[in-house]
Amino acid sequence: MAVAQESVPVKSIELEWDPVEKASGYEVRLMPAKGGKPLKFFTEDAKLMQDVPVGLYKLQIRSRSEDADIFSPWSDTMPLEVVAKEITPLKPEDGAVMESPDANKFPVDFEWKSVDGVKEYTIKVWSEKRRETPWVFVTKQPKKRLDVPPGEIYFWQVLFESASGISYAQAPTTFRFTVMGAKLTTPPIGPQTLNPDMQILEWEASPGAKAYKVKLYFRYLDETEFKLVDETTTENTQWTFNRLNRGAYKLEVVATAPRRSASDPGSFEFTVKPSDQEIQRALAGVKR
Amino acid sequence: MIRVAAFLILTLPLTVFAASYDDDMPEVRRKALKEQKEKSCDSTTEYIKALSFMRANQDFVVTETAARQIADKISKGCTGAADRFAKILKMLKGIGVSDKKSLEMAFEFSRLPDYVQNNFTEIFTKSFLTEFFDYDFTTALALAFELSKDYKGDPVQVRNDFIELVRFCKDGQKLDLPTQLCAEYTIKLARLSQYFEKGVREPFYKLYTTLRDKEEFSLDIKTSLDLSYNILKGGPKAIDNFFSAYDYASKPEGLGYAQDKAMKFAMKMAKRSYMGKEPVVIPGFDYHNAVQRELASEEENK
Repeated sequence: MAVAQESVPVKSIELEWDPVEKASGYEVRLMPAKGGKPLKFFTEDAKLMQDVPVGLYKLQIRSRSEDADIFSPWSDTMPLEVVAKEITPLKPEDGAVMESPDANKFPVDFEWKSVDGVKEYTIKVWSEKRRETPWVFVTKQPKKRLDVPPGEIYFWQVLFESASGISYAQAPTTFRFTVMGAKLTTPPIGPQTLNPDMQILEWEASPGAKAYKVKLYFRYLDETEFKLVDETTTENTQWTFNRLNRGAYKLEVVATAPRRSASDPGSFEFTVKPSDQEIQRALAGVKR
Repeated sequence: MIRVAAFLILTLPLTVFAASYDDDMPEVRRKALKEQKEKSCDSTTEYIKALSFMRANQDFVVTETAARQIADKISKGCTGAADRFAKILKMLKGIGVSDKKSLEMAFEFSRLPDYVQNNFTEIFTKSFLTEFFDYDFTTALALAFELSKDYKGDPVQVRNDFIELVRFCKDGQKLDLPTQLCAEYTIKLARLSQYFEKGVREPFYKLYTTLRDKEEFSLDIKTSLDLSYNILKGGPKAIDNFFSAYDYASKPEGLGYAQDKAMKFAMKMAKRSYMGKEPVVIPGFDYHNAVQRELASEEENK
Protein backbone atom coordinates (compact mmCIF):
# COMPACT_ATOMS: atom_id res chain seq x y z
CA MET A 1 0.00 0.00 0.00
CA ALA A 2 1.50 3.35 -1.04
CA VAL A 3 1.96 5.86 1.73
CA ALA A 4 0.90 9.33 0.81
CA GLN A 5 3.79 11.76 0.99
CA GLU A 6 3.47 15.04 2.78
CA SER A 7 3.86 17.96 0.43
CA VAL A 8 7.03 19.91 1.20
CA PRO A 9 6.81 23.68 1.27
CA VAL A 10 8.73 25.42 -1.43
CA LYS A 11 10.61 28.67 -1.06
CA SER A 12 12.26 30.91 -3.58
CA ILE A 13 16.02 31.21 -3.23
CA GLU A 14 18.32 33.68 -4.80
CA LEU A 15 22.02 32.91 -5.26
CA GLU A 16 24.80 35.05 -6.66
CA TRP A 17 28.47 34.33 -7.14
CA ASP A 18 31.51 35.88 -8.74
CA PRO A 19 31.32 35.44 -12.50
CA VAL A 20 33.99 33.39 -14.28
CA GLU A 21 35.73 34.98 -17.26
CA LYS A 22 34.62 33.64 -20.65
CA ALA A 23 32.04 31.34 -19.05
CA SER A 24 28.95 30.86 -21.19
CA GLY A 25 26.89 29.59 -18.30
CA TYR A 26 26.82 27.84 -14.98
CA GLU A 27 25.39 24.70 -13.50
CA VAL A 28 24.16 24.72 -9.92
CA ARG A 29 23.76 21.45 -8.05
CA LEU A 30 21.87 21.07 -4.78
CA MET A 31 22.36 17.75 -3.07
CA PRO A 32 19.87 17.02 -0.27
CA ALA A 33 21.73 16.43 2.96
CA LYS A 34 19.49 13.46 3.73
CA GLY A 35 20.34 11.92 0.38
CA GLY A 36 18.29 11.49 -2.72
CA LYS A 37 18.27 12.86 -6.18
CA PRO A 38 20.16 16.18 -6.49
CA LEU A 39 18.48 19.27 -7.97
CA LYS A 40 20.24 20.76 -11.00
CA PHE A 41 19.75 24.16 -12.55
CA PHE A 42 21.37 25.91 -15.49
CA THR A 43 21.82 29.61 -15.78
CA GLU A 44 23.63 31.96 -18.11
CA ASP A 45 24.32 34.60 -15.47
CA ALA A 46 26.18 34.31 -12.21
CA LYS A 47 22.96 34.23 -10.24
CA LEU A 48 20.05 32.01 -9.76
CA MET A 49 16.53 32.62 -8.59
CA GLN A 50 14.68 29.39 -8.14
CA ASP A 51 11.89 27.73 -6.13
CA VAL A 52 13.38 25.02 -4.02
CA PRO A 53 11.85 22.67 -1.48
CA VAL A 54 12.63 23.66 2.06
CA GLY A 55 15.48 21.70 3.56
CA LEU A 56 19.25 21.32 4.06
CA TYR A 57 21.44 21.00 1.01
CA LYS A 58 25.05 20.85 -0.13
CA LEU A 59 25.61 23.44 -2.84
CA GLN A 60 28.06 23.21 -5.68
CA ILE A 61 28.52 25.34 -8.78
CA ARG A 62 30.51 24.82 -11.96
CA SER A 63 31.00 26.96 -15.06
CA ARG A 64 30.70 26.05 -18.72
CA SER A 65 33.28 27.16 -21.27
CA GLU A 66 32.56 29.78 -23.84
CA ASP A 67 33.06 27.77 -27.02
CA ALA A 68 32.48 24.18 -26.02
CA ASP A 69 30.31 22.18 -23.81
CA ILE A 70 33.08 21.68 -21.28
CA PHE A 71 32.42 22.19 -17.57
CA SER A 72 34.87 23.17 -14.92
CA PRO A 73 35.28 21.02 -11.86
CA TRP A 74 32.63 21.43 -9.19
CA SER A 75 33.28 24.10 -6.60
CA ASP A 76 33.82 23.20 -2.98
CA THR A 77 30.69 22.01 -1.27
CA MET A 78 28.86 24.70 0.62
CA PRO A 79 25.99 24.00 3.05
CA LEU A 80 22.76 25.71 2.12
CA GLU A 81 19.63 25.82 4.23
CA VAL A 82 16.39 26.75 2.57
CA VAL A 83 14.00 27.85 5.33
CA ALA A 84 10.45 29.07 5.32
CA LYS A 85 10.41 32.69 6.30
CA GLU A 86 6.96 33.78 7.17
CA ILE A 87 5.34 36.81 8.68
CA THR A 88 3.53 36.19 11.98
CA PRO A 89 1.11 39.04 12.65
CA LEU A 90 0.94 40.26 16.24
CA LYS A 91 -1.38 43.21 15.83
CA PRO A 92 -4.07 43.33 14.67
CA GLU A 93 -4.87 39.63 14.95
CA ASP A 94 -5.91 38.06 11.70
CA GLY A 95 -9.69 38.42 11.44
CA ALA A 96 -9.94 40.95 14.26
CA VAL A 97 -12.99 43.18 14.49
CA MET A 98 -12.47 46.55 16.09
CA GLU A 99 -14.87 49.36 16.85
CA SER A 100 -14.03 52.96 16.19
CA PRO A 101 -15.38 55.63 18.50
CA ASP A 102 -14.56 58.24 15.87
CA ALA A 103 -16.72 58.43 12.77
CA ASN A 104 -13.82 59.63 10.59
CA LYS A 105 -10.64 57.77 11.49
CA PHE A 106 -9.30 54.92 13.54
CA PRO A 107 -5.60 54.38 14.35
CA VAL A 108 -4.39 50.84 13.61
CA ASP A 109 -1.10 49.62 15.06
CA PHE A 110 0.41 47.00 12.78
CA GLU A 111 2.98 44.78 14.41
CA TRP A 112 4.52 41.47 13.42
CA LYS A 113 7.24 39.14 14.64
CA SER A 114 10.62 40.29 13.43
CA VAL A 115 12.33 37.99 10.93
CA ASP A 116 16.05 37.19 11.26
CA GLY A 117 18.31 38.84 8.79
CA VAL A 118 15.70 41.16 7.36
CA LYS A 119 16.85 44.65 6.36
CA GLU A 120 13.48 46.24 5.92
CA TYR A 121 9.85 45.46 5.58
CA THR A 122 7.31 46.68 3.06
CA ILE A 123 3.78 46.81 4.40
CA LYS A 124 0.84 47.10 2.07
CA VAL A 125 -2.69 47.88 3.31
CA TRP A 126 -5.87 48.17 1.31
CA SER A 127 -9.64 47.91 1.60
CA GLU A 128 -12.32 46.94 -0.88
CA LYS A 129 -12.64 50.60 -1.80
CA ARG A 130 -8.86 51.10 -2.02
CA ARG A 131 -7.96 47.96 -3.87
CA GLU A 132 -6.29 49.93 -6.67
CA THR A 133 -4.61 52.48 -4.38
CA PRO A 134 -3.24 50.67 -1.36
CA TRP A 135 -1.18 52.34 1.31
CA VAL A 136 2.44 51.16 0.99
CA PHE A 137 5.11 51.86 3.58
CA VAL A 138 8.67 50.72 4.01
CA THR A 139 9.93 50.31 7.55
CA LYS A 140 12.97 48.90 9.28
CA GLN A 141 11.00 48.06 12.39
CA PRO A 142 8.39 45.31 12.43
CA LYS A 143 5.60 47.78 13.14
CA LYS A 144 3.66 50.65 11.67
CA ARG A 145 0.76 52.87 12.74
CA LEU A 146 -1.82 53.93 10.19
CA ASP A 147 -5.09 55.91 10.48
CA VAL A 148 -7.89 54.28 8.49
CA PRO A 149 -11.49 55.31 7.88
CA PRO A 150 -13.92 53.18 9.94
CA GLY A 151 -16.69 51.04 8.48
CA GLU A 152 -14.56 48.84 6.16
CA ILE A 153 -12.82 45.49 5.88
CA TYR A 154 -9.05 45.84 5.47
CA PHE A 155 -6.34 43.55 4.11
CA TRP A 156 -2.58 43.74 4.66
CA GLN A 157 0.65 42.04 3.67
CA VAL A 158 4.26 42.35 4.72
CA LEU A 159 7.12 41.71 2.32
CA PHE A 160 10.77 41.78 3.39
CA GLU A 161 14.33 41.99 2.10
CA SER A 162 17.30 40.21 3.55
CA ALA A 163 20.17 42.13 5.08
CA SER A 164 22.36 41.20 2.19
CA GLY A 165 19.94 42.78 -0.23
CA ILE A 166 18.42 39.56 -1.44
CA SER A 167 14.68 39.59 -1.44
CA TYR A 168 13.20 36.44 -0.06
CA ALA A 169 10.55 36.13 -2.66
CA GLN A 170 7.58 34.43 -1.17
CA ALA A 171 3.89 34.32 -1.73
CA PRO A 172 3.03 36.75 1.00
CA THR A 173 0.15 35.88 3.31
CA THR A 174 -2.73 38.31 3.32
CA PHE A 175 -4.20 39.15 6.69
CA ARG A 176 -7.49 40.90 7.33
CA PHE A 177 -9.29 42.95 9.95
CA THR A 178 -12.46 44.98 10.19
CA VAL A 179 -12.95 48.41 11.65
CA MET A 180 -16.56 48.91 12.58
CA GLY A 181 -17.94 52.41 12.61
CA ALA A 182 -19.10 54.01 15.84
CA LYS A 183 -22.00 52.20 17.51
CA LEU A 184 -25.29 53.67 16.42
CA THR A 185 -27.27 55.62 19.00
CA THR A 186 -30.49 54.18 20.38
CA PRO A 187 -33.46 55.55 18.42
CA PRO A 188 -35.65 57.61 20.78
CA ILE A 189 -39.25 56.39 20.98
CA GLY A 190 -41.93 58.57 22.51
CA PRO A 191 -45.72 58.43 23.02
CA GLN A 192 -47.52 56.83 20.11
CA THR A 193 -50.53 57.85 18.02
CA LEU A 194 -53.15 55.36 19.11
CA ASN A 195 -56.45 55.77 17.38
CA PRO A 196 -58.62 52.68 18.08
CA ASP A 197 -58.87 51.99 14.32
CA MET A 198 -55.30 52.76 13.28
CA GLN A 199 -52.02 52.66 15.16
CA ILE A 200 -49.01 54.48 13.75
CA LEU A 201 -45.91 53.41 15.61
CA GLU A 202 -43.08 55.90 15.22
CA TRP A 203 -39.57 56.52 16.42
CA GLU A 204 -36.89 59.13 15.81
CA ALA A 205 -34.08 58.50 13.36
CA SER A 206 -30.71 57.40 14.66
CA PRO A 207 -27.87 59.34 12.92
CA GLY A 208 -26.12 57.12 10.38
CA ALA A 209 -28.69 54.33 10.54
CA LYS A 210 -29.58 52.71 7.23
CA ALA A 211 -32.34 50.44 8.49
CA TYR A 212 -34.24 49.54 11.65
CA LYS A 213 -35.05 46.14 13.06
CA VAL A 214 -38.41 46.50 14.76
CA LYS A 215 -40.20 44.08 17.05
CA LEU A 216 -43.69 44.26 18.51
CA TYR A 217 -44.53 42.38 21.69
CA PHE A 218 -48.00 41.81 23.20
CA ARG A 219 -49.37 40.87 26.59
CA TYR A 220 -52.86 40.73 28.05
CA LEU A 221 -53.60 43.58 30.48
CA ASP A 222 -53.67 41.25 33.48
CA GLU A 223 -50.43 39.45 32.62
CA THR A 224 -46.78 40.48 32.94
CA GLU A 225 -44.94 38.52 30.22
CA PHE A 226 -44.69 39.98 26.74
CA LYS A 227 -44.67 37.71 23.70
CA LEU A 228 -43.31 38.59 20.27
CA VAL A 229 -46.17 39.01 17.80
CA ASP A 230 -44.58 40.73 14.82
CA GLU A 231 -41.26 41.98 13.50
CA THR A 232 -39.92 43.76 10.47
CA THR A 233 -36.87 45.49 9.03
CA THR A 234 -37.53 48.88 7.54
CA GLU A 235 -35.71 51.94 6.28
CA ASN A 236 -38.55 54.13 7.52
CA THR A 237 -39.12 55.42 11.04
CA GLN A 238 -42.72 54.29 11.13
CA TRP A 239 -44.79 51.12 11.22
CA THR A 240 -48.53 51.30 10.71
CA PHE A 241 -51.23 48.87 11.82
CA ASN A 242 -54.96 48.75 11.22
CA ARG A 243 -56.78 47.77 14.38
CA LEU A 244 -54.25 46.08 16.59
CA ASN A 245 -55.85 43.71 19.09
CA ARG A 246 -56.68 45.52 22.30
CA GLY A 247 -54.16 45.05 25.06
CA ALA A 248 -50.66 46.05 26.14
CA TYR A 249 -47.72 46.30 23.74
CA LYS A 250 -44.00 46.92 23.73
CA LEU A 251 -42.26 48.36 20.68
CA GLU A 252 -38.53 47.67 20.35
CA VAL A 253 -36.34 49.32 17.71
CA VAL A 254 -32.68 48.69 16.87
CA ALA A 255 -30.82 50.95 14.43
CA THR A 256 -28.49 49.18 11.97
CA ALA A 257 -25.96 50.15 9.29
CA PRO A 258 -23.33 48.13 7.39
CA ARG A 259 -20.11 47.80 9.36
CA ARG A 260 -21.41 49.70 12.32
CA SER A 261 -22.39 48.12 15.59
CA ALA A 262 -26.14 48.03 15.94
CA SER A 263 -27.60 50.33 18.54
CA ASP A 264 -28.93 49.21 21.88
CA PRO A 265 -32.66 48.62 21.56
CA GLY A 266 -34.98 51.51 22.25
CA SER A 267 -38.35 50.48 23.63
CA PHE A 268 -41.71 51.94 24.56
CA GLU A 269 -44.76 50.36 26.17
CA PHE A 270 -48.27 51.40 25.31
CA THR A 271 -51.86 50.17 25.58
CA VAL A 272 -54.33 49.94 22.72
CA LYS A 273 -57.78 50.67 24.13
CA PRO A 274 -61.17 50.40 22.47
CA SER A 275 -63.45 53.40 22.11
CA ASP A 276 -66.44 53.81 24.43
CA GLN A 277 -68.67 53.24 21.40
CA GLU A 278 -67.02 49.88 20.77
CA ILE A 279 -67.59 48.80 24.37
CA GLN A 280 -71.20 49.96 24.38
CA ARG A 281 -71.80 48.07 21.15
CA ALA A 282 -70.32 44.91 22.67
CA LEU A 283 -72.49 45.26 25.78
CA ALA A 284 -75.63 46.00 23.76
CA GLY A 285 -74.99 42.86 21.76
CA VAL A 286 -75.66 40.79 24.87
CA LYS A 287 -79.36 40.03 24.56
CA ARG A 288 -81.47 39.89 27.70
CA MET B 1 -136.85 37.18 64.62
CA ILE B 2 -135.11 34.54 66.62
CA ARG B 3 -134.03 32.82 63.35
CA VAL B 4 -132.50 36.02 62.12
CA ALA B 5 -130.86 36.59 65.42
CA ALA B 6 -129.55 33.05 65.39
CA PHE B 7 -128.19 33.60 61.89
CA LEU B 8 -126.54 36.75 63.05
CA ILE B 9 -125.20 35.04 66.12
CA LEU B 10 -123.92 32.17 63.99
CA THR B 11 -122.29 34.39 61.37
CA LEU B 12 -120.72 36.87 63.77
CA PRO B 13 -117.93 34.60 65.06
CA LEU B 14 -117.04 33.58 61.48
CA THR B 15 -116.64 37.20 60.43
CA VAL B 16 -114.53 37.86 63.51
CA PHE B 17 -112.34 34.83 62.76
CA ALA B 18 -111.82 35.88 59.09
CA ALA B 19 -110.72 39.43 60.01
CA SER B 20 -108.18 38.06 62.55
CA TYR B 21 -106.54 35.73 60.00
CA ASP B 22 -105.83 38.60 57.61
CA ASP B 23 -104.82 41.04 60.30
CA ASP B 24 -102.52 38.66 62.17
CA MET B 25 -100.75 37.17 59.18
CA PRO B 26 -100.18 39.86 56.53
CA GLU B 27 -96.68 41.09 57.52
CA VAL B 28 -95.20 37.61 57.90
CA ARG B 29 -96.91 36.46 54.78
CA ARG B 30 -95.82 39.54 52.90
CA LYS B 31 -92.26 39.04 53.99
CA ALA B 32 -92.28 35.40 53.06
CA LEU B 33 -93.77 36.11 49.64
CA LYS B 34 -91.18 38.80 49.07
CA GLU B 35 -88.39 36.52 50.11
CA GLN B 36 -89.76 33.77 47.92
CA LYS B 37 -89.78 36.12 44.95
CA GLU B 38 -86.23 37.27 45.60
CA LYS B 39 -84.87 33.81 46.11
CA SER B 40 -86.64 32.16 43.20
CA CYS B 41 -84.35 31.46 40.31
CA ASP B 42 -84.90 30.78 36.60
CA SER B 43 -82.07 28.30 36.61
CA THR B 44 -83.04 26.53 33.38
CA THR B 45 -83.41 29.80 31.47
CA GLU B 46 -80.02 30.90 32.72
CA TYR B 47 -78.43 27.61 31.70
CA ILE B 48 -79.85 27.81 28.20
CA LYS B 49 -78.92 31.46 27.79
CA ALA B 50 -75.38 30.84 28.99
CA LEU B 51 -74.86 27.84 26.72
CA SER B 52 -76.27 29.67 23.68
CA PHE B 53 -73.97 32.58 24.38
CA MET B 54 -70.88 30.38 24.68
CA ARG B 55 -71.74 28.54 21.47
CA ALA B 56 -72.23 31.79 19.52
CA ASN B 57 -69.39 33.84 21.02
CA GLN B 58 -66.39 34.38 18.71
CA ASP B 59 -64.24 36.24 21.26
CA PHE B 60 -63.98 33.26 23.56
CA VAL B 61 -64.04 29.92 21.81
CA VAL B 62 -64.36 26.79 23.97
CA THR B 63 -65.26 23.16 23.43
CA GLU B 64 -68.87 22.07 23.79
CA THR B 65 -67.95 20.24 27.00
CA ALA B 66 -66.39 23.35 28.49
CA ALA B 67 -69.36 25.46 27.36
CA ARG B 68 -71.74 23.14 29.18
CA GLN B 69 -69.62 23.24 32.32
CA ILE B 70 -69.66 27.03 32.20
CA ALA B 71 -73.41 27.10 31.67
CA ASP B 72 -73.86 24.75 34.58
CA LYS B 73 -71.86 27.02 36.88
CA ILE B 74 -73.70 30.13 35.73
CA SER B 75 -77.13 28.60 36.33
CA LYS B 76 -76.30 28.60 40.05
CA GLY B 77 -76.10 32.39 40.03
CA CYS B 78 -79.88 32.74 39.84
CA THR B 79 -81.93 34.97 37.55
CA GLY B 80 -79.89 37.32 35.38
CA ALA B 81 -76.63 35.44 35.89
CA ALA B 82 -76.15 34.61 32.20
CA ASP B 83 -76.49 38.24 31.12
CA ARG B 84 -74.17 39.46 33.86
CA PHE B 85 -71.64 36.82 32.88
CA ALA B 86 -71.88 37.66 29.18
CA LYS B 87 -71.53 41.42 29.67
CA ILE B 88 -68.46 41.19 31.83
CA LEU B 89 -66.85 38.60 29.57
CA LYS B 90 -67.46 40.63 26.43
CA MET B 91 -66.21 43.82 28.02
CA LEU B 92 -63.03 42.29 29.39
CA LYS B 93 -62.21 40.42 26.18
CA GLY B 94 -62.92 43.63 24.29
CA ILE B 95 -60.27 45.57 26.20
CA GLY B 96 -57.54 42.92 26.12
CA VAL B 97 -57.80 40.84 29.30
CA SER B 98 -56.69 37.22 29.13
CA ASP B 99 -59.25 34.41 28.73
CA LYS B 100 -58.52 33.04 32.18
CA LYS B 101 -58.97 36.33 34.02
CA SER B 102 -62.02 37.30 31.95
CA LEU B 103 -63.72 34.01 32.76
CA GLU B 104 -62.83 34.28 36.43
CA MET B 105 -64.26 37.79 36.74
CA ALA B 106 -67.32 36.98 34.65
CA PHE B 107 -68.15 34.09 36.98
CA GLU B 108 -67.69 36.32 39.98
CA PHE B 109 -70.03 39.02 38.71
CA SER B 110 -72.60 36.52 37.48
CA ARG B 111 -73.29 35.70 41.13
CA LEU B 112 -73.66 39.32 42.23
CA PRO B 113 -76.73 41.53 41.70
CA ASP B 114 -77.31 43.46 38.48
CA TYR B 115 -76.50 46.81 40.00
CA VAL B 116 -73.11 45.60 41.21
CA GLN B 117 -72.26 44.52 37.67
CA ASN B 118 -73.63 47.78 36.25
CA ASN B 119 -71.52 49.73 38.71
CA PHE B 120 -68.43 47.84 37.80
CA THR B 121 -68.96 48.26 34.07
CA GLU B 122 -69.77 51.94 34.29
CA ILE B 123 -66.98 52.88 36.68
CA PHE B 124 -64.38 50.74 34.98
CA THR B 125 -65.07 52.07 31.49
CA LYS B 126 -65.05 55.66 32.68
CA SER B 127 -61.79 55.12 34.53
CA PHE B 128 -60.01 53.09 31.86
CA LEU B 129 -61.01 54.42 28.44
CA THR B 130 -59.01 57.13 26.71
CA GLU B 131 -62.08 59.34 26.27
CA PHE B 132 -62.48 59.59 30.05
CA PHE B 133 -59.85 59.20 32.74
CA ASP B 134 -57.46 56.97 30.76
CA TYR B 135 -56.12 55.20 33.83
CA ASP B 136 -53.97 52.10 33.46
CA PHE B 137 -55.75 48.76 33.77
CA THR B 138 -54.70 47.99 37.35
CA THR B 139 -55.78 51.37 38.72
CA ALA B 140 -59.10 51.35 36.84
CA LEU B 141 -59.82 47.82 38.00
CA ALA B 142 -59.06 48.61 41.65
CA LEU B 143 -61.30 51.64 41.53
CA ALA B 144 -64.15 49.77 39.84
CA PHE B 145 -63.95 47.00 42.46
CA GLU B 146 -63.86 49.54 45.27
CA LEU B 147 -67.07 51.18 44.07
CA SER B 148 -68.92 48.01 43.05
CA LYS B 149 -68.50 44.62 44.67
CA ASP B 150 -66.45 45.92 47.60
CA TYR B 151 -68.68 48.93 48.18
CA LYS B 152 -70.57 49.09 51.48
CA GLY B 153 -72.77 52.07 50.66
CA ASP B 154 -75.63 52.34 48.19
CA PRO B 155 -74.26 51.07 44.87
CA VAL B 156 -76.97 52.77 42.82
CA GLN B 157 -76.17 56.14 44.38
CA VAL B 158 -72.44 55.82 43.96
CA ARG B 159 -72.81 54.89 40.31
CA ASN B 160 -75.04 57.83 39.59
CA ASP B 161 -72.75 60.09 41.56
CA PHE B 162 -69.73 58.90 39.61
CA ILE B 163 -71.35 59.33 36.21
CA GLU B 164 -72.72 62.78 36.99
CA LEU B 165 -69.53 64.00 38.62
CA VAL B 166 -67.48 62.91 35.60
CA ARG B 167 -69.85 64.79 33.35
CA PHE B 168 -69.80 67.91 35.55
CA CYS B 169 -66.04 67.79 35.88
CA LYS B 170 -65.33 67.51 32.16
CA ASP B 171 -68.08 69.90 31.05
CA GLY B 172 -66.63 72.89 29.25
CA GLN B 173 -69.30 75.16 30.71
CA LYS B 174 -68.86 74.01 34.24
CA LEU B 175 -65.52 72.83 35.60
CA ASP B 176 -63.60 71.73 32.52
CA LEU B 177 -60.70 70.41 34.59
CA PRO B 178 -57.70 68.60 33.06
CA THR B 179 -58.34 64.85 32.91
CA GLN B 180 -55.89 63.92 35.66
CA LEU B 181 -57.33 66.45 38.16
CA CYS B 182 -60.88 65.60 37.16
CA ALA B 183 -60.25 61.92 37.75
CA GLU B 184 -58.66 62.43 41.16
CA TYR B 185 -61.41 64.74 42.35
CA THR B 186 -64.31 62.65 41.07
CA ILE B 187 -63.00 59.55 42.77
CA LYS B 188 -62.43 61.37 46.04
CA LEU B 189 -65.99 62.71 45.99
CA ALA B 190 -67.54 59.42 44.91
CA ARG B 191 -66.01 57.77 47.97
CA LEU B 192 -68.09 60.13 50.13
CA SER B 193 -71.32 58.98 48.48
CA GLN B 194 -71.75 56.25 51.06
CA TYR B 195 -72.48 58.86 53.78
CA PHE B 196 -75.35 60.51 51.91
CA GLU B 197 -78.78 58.95 51.60
CA LYS B 198 -79.35 60.27 48.10
CA GLY B 199 -75.77 60.40 47.02
CA VAL B 200 -73.20 63.19 47.17
CA ARG B 201 -73.72 64.91 43.82
CA GLU B 202 -76.55 67.25 44.74
CA PRO B 203 -75.00 68.40 48.04
CA PHE B 204 -71.75 68.93 46.14
CA TYR B 205 -73.33 71.02 43.35
CA LYS B 206 -75.13 73.25 45.88
CA LEU B 207 -72.08 73.65 48.04
CA TYR B 208 -69.70 74.34 45.18
CA THR B 209 -72.04 76.79 43.50
CA THR B 210 -72.55 78.68 46.77
CA LEU B 211 -68.84 78.95 47.41
CA ARG B 212 -68.19 80.12 43.86
CA ASP B 213 -71.12 82.38 43.16
CA LYS B 214 -72.35 83.78 46.47
CA GLU B 215 -70.93 87.25 47.00
CA GLU B 216 -69.76 86.71 50.56
CA PHE B 217 -67.56 83.81 49.38
CA SER B 218 -66.73 84.22 45.63
CA LEU B 219 -63.92 81.70 45.94
CA ASP B 220 -61.74 80.50 43.05
CA ILE B 221 -62.28 77.06 41.50
CA LYS B 222 -59.49 75.28 43.36
CA THR B 223 -60.45 76.65 46.78
CA SER B 224 -64.13 75.94 46.16
CA LEU B 225 -63.37 72.35 45.19
CA ASP B 226 -61.03 71.74 48.14
CA LEU B 227 -63.39 73.31 50.60
CA SER B 228 -66.40 71.44 49.20
CA TYR B 229 -64.63 68.14 49.61
CA ASN B 230 -63.44 68.91 53.15
CA ILE B 231 -66.94 69.92 54.24
CA LEU B 232 -68.62 66.90 52.64
CA LYS B 233 -66.20 64.60 54.45
CA GLY B 234 -68.11 65.49 57.58
CA GLY B 235 -71.29 63.89 56.31
CA PRO B 236 -74.74 65.38 55.64
CA LYS B 237 -74.90 67.60 58.74
CA ALA B 238 -71.57 69.22 57.95
CA ILE B 239 -72.96 71.58 55.29
CA ASP B 240 -75.50 73.15 57.63
CA ASN B 241 -72.96 73.30 60.43
CA PHE B 242 -70.47 75.03 58.15
CA PHE B 243 -72.76 77.74 56.90
CA SER B 244 -74.42 78.45 60.19
CA ALA B 245 -71.03 78.57 61.91
CA TYR B 246 -69.69 80.91 59.25
CA ASP B 247 -72.75 83.12 59.61
CA TYR B 248 -72.38 83.32 63.35
CA ALA B 249 -68.64 83.80 63.29
CA SER B 250 -68.80 86.70 60.82
CA LYS B 251 -71.50 88.65 62.64
CA PRO B 252 -70.37 91.39 65.02
CA GLU B 253 -72.83 90.11 67.62
CA GLY B 254 -71.47 86.59 67.06
CA LEU B 255 -67.67 86.20 66.96
CA GLY B 256 -66.93 89.22 64.76
CA TYR B 257 -64.34 87.37 62.68
CA ALA B 258 -62.97 88.38 59.28
CA GLN B 259 -63.66 85.98 56.38
CA ASP B 260 -60.53 83.87 56.81
CA LYS B 261 -60.97 83.29 60.51
CA ALA B 262 -64.71 82.76 60.14
CA MET B 263 -64.05 80.08 57.50
CA LYS B 264 -61.58 78.30 59.78
CA PHE B 265 -64.12 78.33 62.59
CA ALA B 266 -66.83 77.07 60.27
CA MET B 267 -64.57 74.24 59.09
CA LYS B 268 -63.87 73.25 62.67
CA MET B 269 -67.58 73.00 63.36
CA ALA B 270 -68.17 71.05 60.17
CA LYS B 271 -65.60 68.45 61.20
CA ARG B 272 -67.54 67.82 64.37
CA SER B 273 -70.69 66.84 62.50
CA TYR B 274 -70.60 63.16 63.45
CA MET B 275 -69.70 60.88 66.30
CA GLY B 276 -67.21 58.12 65.89
CA LYS B 277 -64.38 57.67 63.41
CA GLU B 278 -66.42 58.49 60.30
CA PRO B 279 -69.98 59.42 59.36
CA VAL B 280 -72.47 56.55 59.25
CA VAL B 281 -72.38 54.55 56.04
CA ILE B 282 -75.80 54.26 54.40
CA PRO B 283 -76.01 50.89 52.69
CA GLY B 284 -78.12 50.23 49.61
CA PHE B 285 -81.75 49.24 49.97
CA ASP B 286 -81.20 45.80 48.61
CA TYR B 287 -77.66 45.46 49.85
CA HIS B 288 -78.47 43.09 52.67
CA ASN B 289 -80.48 40.77 50.45
CA ALA B 290 -77.86 40.85 47.77
CA VAL B 291 -75.20 39.86 50.24
CA GLN B 292 -77.40 37.03 51.55
CA ARG B 293 -77.96 35.80 48.01
CA GLU B 294 -74.25 35.82 47.39
CA LEU B 295 -73.50 33.91 50.57
CA ALA B 296 -76.17 31.32 49.82
CA SER B 297 -74.76 30.85 46.37
CA GLU B 298 -71.27 30.35 47.76
CA GLU B 299 -72.52 27.72 50.19
CA GLU B 300 -74.15 25.82 47.41
CA ASN B 301 -71.02 25.94 45.32
CA LYS B 302 -68.86 24.36 48.00
